Amino acid sequence: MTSTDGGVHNLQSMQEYNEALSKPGVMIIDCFATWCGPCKVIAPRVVDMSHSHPSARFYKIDVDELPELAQQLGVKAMPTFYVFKDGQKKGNVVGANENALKALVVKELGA
Amino acid sequence: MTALKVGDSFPEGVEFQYIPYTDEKAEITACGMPQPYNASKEFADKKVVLFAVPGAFTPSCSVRHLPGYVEHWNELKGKGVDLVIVIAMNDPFVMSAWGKANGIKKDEILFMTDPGIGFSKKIGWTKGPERTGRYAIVIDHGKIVYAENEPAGDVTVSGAEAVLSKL
Repeated sequence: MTSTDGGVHNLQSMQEYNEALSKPGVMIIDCFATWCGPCKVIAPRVVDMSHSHPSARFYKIDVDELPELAQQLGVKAMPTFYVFKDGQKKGNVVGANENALKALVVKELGA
Repeated sequence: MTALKVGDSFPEGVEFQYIPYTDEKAEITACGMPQPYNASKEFADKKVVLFAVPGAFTPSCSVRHLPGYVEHWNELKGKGVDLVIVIAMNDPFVMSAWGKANGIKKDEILFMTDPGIGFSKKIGWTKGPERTGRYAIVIDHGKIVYAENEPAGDVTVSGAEAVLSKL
């Protein structure tokens, strides 16, 4: 399991997304919008989570920058968090729900 | 441009945009995102009342057009109407806010955008270069059973009462 230096990395293209998806292990994507209040509220908590769970990789996408990816992932509201393991979608959390996200991340890391 | 009349099929490829309803509590935790709404597909197996207003929040519409549909909603449902949808040229955020401002909950009346007034232009019912006209269309399982465009500034043939009387 690769350990990361923490932090939430901003994916800026479909290619970067596909590259991230192709790596093994647990990956979390935070789908946000710059104009969305709840996204701003939870963002620092997600950064903290990336430091406390270094064996998972954390990314984010701006739905206005990557609308096709947002549609492909099925984003209906922001923030939506998708959790992948070894490239497979394992679950999602809609809304700025830190507890639900943490629970899902821990579940997939332990699985 | 093809004017719609009773007996026609609802055109193919009509797509609106909207933000699905979220209640107050949900709004604190998430922001809705505009979704495409495939009207042609959705209307194929339902009875739908579709009405258009030149603009959300504009005085005569809010005061006399939308409230009629809110008041008569139960009766419309009683006549087998599955969906009531209002469209305008305003973007999905404005339409969503207009719905909330009128206290519309859940999916009683859906508030949507006619993007680029594309559908309204297609049927030739527009107001100036940017706004939809004021009209009401009833689609029953893909077939037009009522289609009237307001001839003047008032709310008559496009209002809920006129539509009800024809259902």
